[in-house]
Amino acid sequence: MLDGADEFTNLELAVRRHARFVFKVAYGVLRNSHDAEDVVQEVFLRVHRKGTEGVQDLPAWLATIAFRLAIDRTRKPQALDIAEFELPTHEPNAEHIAMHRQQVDRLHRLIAALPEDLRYPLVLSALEELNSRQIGGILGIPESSVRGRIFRARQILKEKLAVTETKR
Amino acid sequence: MNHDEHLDHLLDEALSEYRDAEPLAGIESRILARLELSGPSRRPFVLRWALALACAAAIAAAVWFGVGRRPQHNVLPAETAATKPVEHAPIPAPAVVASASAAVKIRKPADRTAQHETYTPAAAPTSPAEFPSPTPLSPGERALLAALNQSSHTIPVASEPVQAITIAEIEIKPLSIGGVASSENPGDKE
Repeated sequence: MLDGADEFTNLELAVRRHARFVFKVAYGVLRNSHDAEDVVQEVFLRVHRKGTEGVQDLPAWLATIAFRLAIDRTRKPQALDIAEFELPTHEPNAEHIAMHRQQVDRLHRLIAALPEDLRYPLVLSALEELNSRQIGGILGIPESSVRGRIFRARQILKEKLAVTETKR
Repeated sequence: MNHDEHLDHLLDEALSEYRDAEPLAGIESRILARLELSGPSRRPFVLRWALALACAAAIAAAVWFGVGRRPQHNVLPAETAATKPVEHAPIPAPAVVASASAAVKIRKPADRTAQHETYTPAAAPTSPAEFPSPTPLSPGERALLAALNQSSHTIPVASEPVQAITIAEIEIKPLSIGGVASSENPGDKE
């Protein structure tokens, strides 16, 4: 059994190794740096209180806690709805770089407007530290469902983006 | 690059924001500082069980000693209610309270509550050497003792010979007011 000093040393090691990864998980849900850092602090506070006994995959376990805490922070219903998403009629900037930036911004809005069961697998798949099995563990769904949802999310986004491109 | 590849490229670029998201510098230090401020970490498993067992043992000991040391006269509120009528009861009939031995019989009714009455007043201040009492008298006991003392004071009075009272026979006669018979109907005058 570890005493208090050893335990805190291990915790410090975990913070230095995984804090940024945990931040990315929280940011993927919240898309706000300050809120994401609050979630990271809460994650490690919980680890500090409860310990890591019996934890097999520490990164995935931390990601699960971070994901759930971040979800708790997004209880407010999303203002955006992908069905109501409309392309702005007038684009202010005609230059190529600015247009590209606008396309990426539009994609972010489309991602934010995705249904949660599609958005979270897609966002978590962007993190290199997590594979499909771990994402399934975080979301509580089978690994095959993770891959299917990521594929569907990408299809929807590309369709929406193609529509906006043709309208222009 | 065809259109589909272009969209994939845009999508990957949008998702790269999640991959490349970085917190403000020094996040590890801020987390560790907050952890240190949050106090000691969780207690070890054995220590938690030891604390739980100690608490359980303390509660069990408190219950045990609380029951063992409870005085017997804790049931006296009911006894007090039972003895109240004795205090407020009229003086017993002369035939019953004719002598001191008869007065003692009053303190020995057949019910269980009265058995306590014969015990606890005996521990009273009159003979503490014979019946030592570890606890002071309760209000119920004091009331009972007062009632018994009062009844003992009546013994000399009651022990005098009582003369029989003769009461004349009561006669009931019909009521008459101002020469009018009570059976007369007032409505007949009109």
